[in-house]
Amino acid sequence: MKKKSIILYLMTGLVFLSSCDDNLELENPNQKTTSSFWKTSDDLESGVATIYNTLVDNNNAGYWEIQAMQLKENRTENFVARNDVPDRYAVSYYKNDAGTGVPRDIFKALYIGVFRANQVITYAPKIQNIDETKREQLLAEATFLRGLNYFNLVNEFGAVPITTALVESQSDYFKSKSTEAEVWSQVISDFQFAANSALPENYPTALKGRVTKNAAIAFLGKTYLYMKDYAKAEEQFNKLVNNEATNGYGLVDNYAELFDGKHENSKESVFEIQFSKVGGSTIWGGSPAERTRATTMAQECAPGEVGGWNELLPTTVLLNAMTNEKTVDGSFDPRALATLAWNYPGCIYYNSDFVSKFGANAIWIRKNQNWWNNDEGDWKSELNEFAMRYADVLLMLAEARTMQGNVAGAAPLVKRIRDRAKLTDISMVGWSKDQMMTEIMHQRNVEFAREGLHFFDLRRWGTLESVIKSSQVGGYQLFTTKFSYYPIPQSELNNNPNMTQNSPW
Amino acid sequence: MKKKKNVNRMKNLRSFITSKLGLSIFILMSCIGMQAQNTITGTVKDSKSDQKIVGVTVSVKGTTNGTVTDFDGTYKLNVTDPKGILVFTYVGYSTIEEAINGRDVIDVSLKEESNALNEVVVIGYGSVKKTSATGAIASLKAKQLDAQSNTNLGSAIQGKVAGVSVESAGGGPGSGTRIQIRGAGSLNNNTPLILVDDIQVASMNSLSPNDIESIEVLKDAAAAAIYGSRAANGVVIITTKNGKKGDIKVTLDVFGGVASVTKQLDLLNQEQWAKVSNAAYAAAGKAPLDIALNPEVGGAGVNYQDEIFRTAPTQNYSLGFLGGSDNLKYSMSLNYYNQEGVIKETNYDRFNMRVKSDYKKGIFKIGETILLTKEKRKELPGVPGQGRNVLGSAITMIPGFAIYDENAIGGYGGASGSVTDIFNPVAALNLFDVTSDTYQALLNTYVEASFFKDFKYKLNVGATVSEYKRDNYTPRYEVGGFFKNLDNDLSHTDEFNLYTQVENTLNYTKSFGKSYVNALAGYTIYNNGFKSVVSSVSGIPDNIYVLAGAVQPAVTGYNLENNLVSYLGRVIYSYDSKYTLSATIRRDGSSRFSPDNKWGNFPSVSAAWGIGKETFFTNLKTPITDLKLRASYGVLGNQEIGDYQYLGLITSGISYGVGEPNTLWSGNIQTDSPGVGLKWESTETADFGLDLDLWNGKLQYTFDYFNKQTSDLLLRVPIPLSVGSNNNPYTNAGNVTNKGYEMSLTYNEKIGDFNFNVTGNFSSIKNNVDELSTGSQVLEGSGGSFHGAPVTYSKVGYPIYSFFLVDTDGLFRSQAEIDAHSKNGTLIQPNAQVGDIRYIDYNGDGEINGEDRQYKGSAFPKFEYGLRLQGDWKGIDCTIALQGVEGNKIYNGNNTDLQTVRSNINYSAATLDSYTFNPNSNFPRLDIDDKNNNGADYSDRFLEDGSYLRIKTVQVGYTIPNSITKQVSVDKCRIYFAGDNLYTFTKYSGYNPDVSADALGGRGIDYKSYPLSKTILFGLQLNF
Repeated sequence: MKKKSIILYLMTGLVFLSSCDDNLELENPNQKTTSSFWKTSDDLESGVATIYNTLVDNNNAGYWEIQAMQLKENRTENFVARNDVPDRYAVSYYKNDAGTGVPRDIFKALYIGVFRANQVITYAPKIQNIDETKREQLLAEATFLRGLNYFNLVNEFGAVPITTALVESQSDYFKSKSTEAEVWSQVISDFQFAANSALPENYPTALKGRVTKNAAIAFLGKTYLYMKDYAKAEEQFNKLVNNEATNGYGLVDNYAELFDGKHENSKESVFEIQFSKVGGSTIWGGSPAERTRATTMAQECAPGEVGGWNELLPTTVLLNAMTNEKTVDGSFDPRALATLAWNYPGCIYYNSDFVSKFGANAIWIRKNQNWWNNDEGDWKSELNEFAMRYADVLLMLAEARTMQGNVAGAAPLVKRIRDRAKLTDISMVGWSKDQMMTEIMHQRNVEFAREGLHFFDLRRWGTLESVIKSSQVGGYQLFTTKFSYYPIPQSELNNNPNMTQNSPW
Repeated sequence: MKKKKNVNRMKNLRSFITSKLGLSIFILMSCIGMQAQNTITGTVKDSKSDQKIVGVTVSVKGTTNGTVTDFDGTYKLNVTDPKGILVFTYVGYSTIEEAINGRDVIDVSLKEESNALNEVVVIGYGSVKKTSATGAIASLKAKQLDAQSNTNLGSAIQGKVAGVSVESAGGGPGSGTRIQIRGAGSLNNNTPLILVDDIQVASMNSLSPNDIESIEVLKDAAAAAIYGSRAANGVVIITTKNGKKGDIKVTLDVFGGVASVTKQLDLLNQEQWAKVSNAAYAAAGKAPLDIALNPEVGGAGVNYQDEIFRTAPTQNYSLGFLGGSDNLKYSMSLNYYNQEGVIKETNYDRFNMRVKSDYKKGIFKIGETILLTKEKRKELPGVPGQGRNVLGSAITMIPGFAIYDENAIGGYGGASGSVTDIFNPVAALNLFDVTSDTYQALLNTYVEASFFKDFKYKLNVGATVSEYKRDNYTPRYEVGGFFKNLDNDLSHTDEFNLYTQVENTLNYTKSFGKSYVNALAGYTIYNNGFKSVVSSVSGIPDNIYVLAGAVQPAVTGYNLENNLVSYLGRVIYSYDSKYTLSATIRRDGSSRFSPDNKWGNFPSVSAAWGIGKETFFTNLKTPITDLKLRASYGVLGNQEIGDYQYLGLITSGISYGVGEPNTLWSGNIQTDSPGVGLKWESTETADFGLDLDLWNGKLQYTFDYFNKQTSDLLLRVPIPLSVGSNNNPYTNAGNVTNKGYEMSLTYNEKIGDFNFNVTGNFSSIKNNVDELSTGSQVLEGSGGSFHGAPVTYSKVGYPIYSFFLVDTDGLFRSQAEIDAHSKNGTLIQPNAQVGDIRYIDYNGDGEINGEDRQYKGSAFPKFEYGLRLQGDWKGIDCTIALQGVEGNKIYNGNNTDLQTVRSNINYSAATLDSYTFNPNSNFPRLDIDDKNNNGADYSDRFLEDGSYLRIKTVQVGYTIPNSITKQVSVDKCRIYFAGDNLYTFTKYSGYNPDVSADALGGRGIDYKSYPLSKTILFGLQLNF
C-alpha cells in the first residue's frame, strides 16, 4: 500500500519531466516578427509610412519637429533661445559639445530614418504578388527618404558613416566614417533614383504630402546647389520652372495664406511636412499608436501670456531685416506681418492688443502660430511645415544662374518673389553678380524666416561668422567656425570604435 | 475639517481596541470556569543563574491545559490526571518534561540551550544544523523585525543584516523599499529572489511584518546555488509564522500614530523671490518679470510646501492565532493597516489574511500556506509641466501665484505669463484622481512522503495570482496660462499576473558512525504569465467616473509569458560534525534565450571546518566555545532581460498623416536591432567565512570575505547611433566585480534583572567595472536635471554608474583671476565675470565643456552599518535601532533648478546669500542669462556627501506584571511608544539622503524624489 502510493508520486514527477523542452519555445503573442512580416504590398507600403514618421516624431527628434526646427533657427542671428532646456540653450549660445543631447537625438533620428528606409529597400524586391509599378514607386519613395536623411546628416554633421544594408552580424554595427564627398554622392544617387523613377509628378488629394518625382528633382537641385555645382543645380530646377504649365507649381498670391492653416498643400507646396490631430492623443511617451500627429511647435514658440513656452525668441536683428524695405504703398512687407508680431499700430496677436498684453518691446513669431485663436491652449498644433516650397525653387534657381554669371536670367525669378511681396519693381538691369547675390540673400532671409533654411544659407555663402558676430545677439561672442556643423555625438564615438570626431571639433 | 476627521479615526481605534479586548476576555473567562481538580504549584528557575523565569509555558502533555509562570516565576495549574506529564517550554531554553507522579509541588530548573551554532538554519529545499552550514547565511528572527513599529517588511530589515542594502522606494504611502544583496552585480536587475514559504514573490512590500517567523538571507553562491538562475542576486527566504503544539495562542497587536515629513526645503517667499529674480534680470540687462512686480498673492505669497504636506495618521491591527497538536499545527492571522500619506490626498490601505497548517499522518505530511492581500492606494498623480511631479511642482512654483481662481474651469489658479510652466501642485492633488487596487493570492501546498527510512519525496505546487486595477481620472480644467484640458479623461489599467511553480524533490538522509550524508535531487518548472489591458476615453460627461457612456474607449493590451525548467542536485557530507563538504549543481533552461543558448549549468562547492570541536582546540581552554571556518565557490545565472528579446520584432502604429485633409497612414516596421547570440549572464562568487562563539553563546561573531565576479553581463549595450535602432539590443558585454567583507556581532548579557542584547553589522563592498563590450565603451546613466545631460557613467576601471562631473574651483574674486585662468593666452572662460564659478579645464583644451568631466565618486557607499540595542528590566523594555551608510555621493538635482537662477521658478533661500548680495559668499553671482554656465548640470557643484546615520527605530515598552494580567486571563499585556525614522544625521542638504531609483544609472540622483517621513506611534500588544 505504502509502496504503491510512493510509486504514484514518483510518476507524477516523471509526467512533469516529459514535456519540458516544449515549454521553452514561446512565440511572442503581441507582435509580428521580421520573418512573418514583409509578405504583402500592404506590408511594404506600411513600412514606408514609418519613414515619414521619423520626420515628425517628437519622441525621436524628427527633423521638422520642435527640437531640430528650433535649433536650425536658434543658431542664427534671427532667434535666441530661452534658458530652460539646457541642451537646446547650449546649442543656441554656441556652448554645445559632442555630449550635448539634442544634436545627438537629431543624429539618431536621421539614422532611424535610414534604418527604416533600408528595410523597405531590402524587402521590396522580395515581396511576391505585388503590382510592379507599386513596388517601384514604394522603392523610390523609400530611397528618396533615405537620401533626404543623408542630406540632413551631411548638412548638419559633415562626414558620417553610410549604411545602405541591414545588420546581419554584430560587426555590422561598427561602420567607419565616409568622407563628406562620399555622403554627398550617396544623397545624389538616392535623389536621382527617385527623380528617374515611376513616382507620379503629382498626387491626388488623398495622397497629398507624399513625395513626388518633382520633389525629388527639387531636392536633387538643392543638393547640387549646396555642393556649389551650379550648372547641374540649374538643370534640375529648370525641369520644374520650365514646366509650370503642366506641373501646376506657382506662388500663392497672398503670402500669409501659406501659414494660416486653411491653404495647406497648395500650388506652392513641393514637399510639405504634414501635421494634424490624427492618431492618438499624447505627444510624448506611450506606444507609437498612442501618439498624435499634431505638433507642439506652436505652443513651444508662443509667449507665456498665451500658454506658450517662449522657446524661440525673434531678435530685433530679424525685425529690422524684415522691415527695412516697405511695399509700394509704404506699408510693411506682408512677409514681415505674416512672420512676426511686434509693436506696430493696430497689431492684434492672439485676439489681443499686442502692446497691452505682450509689452511695447516684445517681438513674437506669427508664422506657423495659431495666432488667430485666443491662445495655444491644448498643445496640439496642426500647422504644416515646408520642406520644399516653390519660392525656394525659384530663388535657388536664381542663385544657380547668378553664380554662373547669368544675372539677367536670375532677375525675373527674383522679381516674382518681390512682386508677390508687393515691393517696388526695381530695375535689375546691369546688376553685377554681387549685387544680385546680395538681393537674393536678403530675399531669402525675409522670405524663409523661421523655416529653418537661413543657417545653411549663410554657411553656403561664407557669411555665417561675420553675420553672427556683427549681430551681437545671443551668444555671438562664443561663436567660432566650428559651430558651422554639429560635432559627431559623443555616444557615437563611445560606442563605435571605428568612428572619429570631425575636424575641427 | 481635516483635523476633525483624524480625531474621529483615533476614536474609532479606541473603541475597536476596547471591544476586541472585552470580547476576548469574556471568551477566556468562560473557558476557565469549567475545570477544578488537583492543583499543582511550583517555581521555574534558570539552572545556571538560579534566577526565576517569567513567562515559561507549563502544560500537561497531550492536552490543551496549560499556564505560564508569573512575575515570581511561579505557576499554578489544575490537573485532572495525577499520572500526567508536565511540559515546561521557554524560548532559548531546553524543554523539560516532568511526570507529575501525584506531586503537588513541582519545581524545575531550565537549562539555557548551549549556543547558537546548534540552531537550525533554512537552506534551499531543506534545513541544516548551523554547524553544518557551509554557505554565508544570515538569519533574522521575528522579534528583531520590531514589527510593532515597522509596517513595511523591507524597512524592518533595513540595517539589520550585513551585506543587505535597503533603500526606501519613495515616500508615497505604501511605496515600499528596494533590496540589494552584496552590491550591484548586474546592470539590469539586482533584485534578489524572494521566497515566501517556498514560493517566489515579486516584492516583500505587501507582507505584514507581524506575519513573519524568520527571514534567512542566502548571500554567497554556495548557499544560493540550489536556486540557480534565479539566485544571482542572492535569496531572501521568508517563513511565515508556523503553528505550534499546544493550546491556542491569540495575539493582538494594535498601534496608531502620526507621520510627518522630516524636513522641508528652505525656499524663498514672494518678496524674497522678487528680489532675487529682479537682481538676476538686472544682471543680464533685462526688464523685471511682471509677476515679480505684480504678484497675485501679496506679502510672503503661498508656501506651496505647506500646502501639500500634512501630519498624517497611521494605524495597524494584527490578530493572530496559533496552536496545534502532535499531528496538526496551524497558524492564522488577520492584519489591517492604514496609512494616510504625508502628502495630502494620498493614502494606502492593506488587508492581509493568512492561513498556514501542517498535518502529519503515517508517512505523509501535507501542508499549505494561503496568503491573501488586498491593497488600495490613492496614488500621487502625474503632473504636466516642468515641475515633473507634485513635489517638484511645489518646490518650484513661484509663491506669488494664487492657488485658487474661481473663474477657471476646475477652480484652480497657476503660473502664467513669461515664466516656466509649473503646474499648481495643489490643483494636481485635487483635480487628478489616481486610485489603484491590488489583489494578491499566494497559494502553496505540499505533500511529503517518507519511505525506506532515509528517503523523503516532496511535491510542492504553488501559485501567486495578482490583479492590479488602476483608474486615472483627469477632469476638464484650466490651470494658469499653460495648462488646459478640454475633455474629461479616464483611463483604466488592468494587469493580471499568474505565476505557477511545480517542484519535485527527493531527499536522502543517513547517519552512519560519525558520518552524515544528505543528498537532494529535484526537478522544477516555473511559468509566469502577464496580461495587460488599458482602456481610455476622452470626453466623458462630468461626474461620470467609469468607462461608460457614448464615447467608445480606445483599448490596447499585451501578453507576456516565460518558462524556466530546472534540474537540481546537492550532496552534503559531514564527518564528526567537524568537517562538512557540500556540492550543488543546477541546470536551467529558459524560454528567454534562442534555441541554441537556452540551457545554462550552475555548479558550486563549499566546505566547513569546525576547529572549535577539535581536541587540540578545546584543550586550549579559551573563552571560545566554538569556531568554524567556511569556504565556498559557485556560479549562478541571470536571465532578467524581459521576454522575447532574441527575436526581430515589428512595431505597429508608427504613423503619418497624408492627404488634404490628413488621414492616418499607419505603419509597421522593425524599430530595434535584436540581440544576436544572447546567452546567460553568470556570476561567480568565492566566499571565506568564520563563525565564532564565545562564552557559551554570549557573544557571537561572523565574518565573511567575498569576491563576486559577474561575466557576460546582460545589458542593453549602446550600439552606435548610426545603426538607427530605437532601443539598444541586449548583448552579453563585460564583467563587473563586487568584492568586500561583512561582519555581524551579537552580544547577550544578563545582570540581575537587567537583560540586554546588542546586535551590530558592518559591510564594505567595492564595485568595479572590469570590462565593457568594445573597450572604449561608456554607458550613459541618468541625468539629474530637466532635460539635462547624464551625470552618471559606467566606464572600465570605475564603479558602475559613477559620477563623472566637471570640477568647480571656487569663484572668481577679481578680473585678474579671470585673466589668469587662460591657456596659451586665450581665456578659458571668456564670458566669466567676477562672482562666477571657475571650472577646471580637465582635458586641457582651453575650453570648459562636458569633455572636462572627471571621476567624482559613486552612489554606492564605502560601507554600511547597523546597530540594534535591546534591553529589559523587570517589565520595562527598550529597543533602539540605528542604521547608516558612509562614503557615498548624492547628486542634488533639485538644486540644478533651485540654486541656478536661470529659469523663472522659485529658488532656494541660499540665493539670498549669493555673491550678488554678499561679495564674501561662495554662492555664484545671479544672472538670468548665465553666460558663464554657473548652473551647468555637468558640474560637481550639485554633488554632495550622502553619508548618514539614522535613528531608525526607538521603542519603549512596559509589560504589565503577569500577576495582574493573569487575573483577566491575559498572558501578556505590553504597551509601548515607538518612533520610526526619528532623526537622520547627515550633511546632505536635500529632503532625505536615502534616495533610490529604479534604474541603476539613476542611483544617487535626487531629482524631485519624495521626502521620507517619520512616525510616532503608540501601541498595545496582548497575548491570550
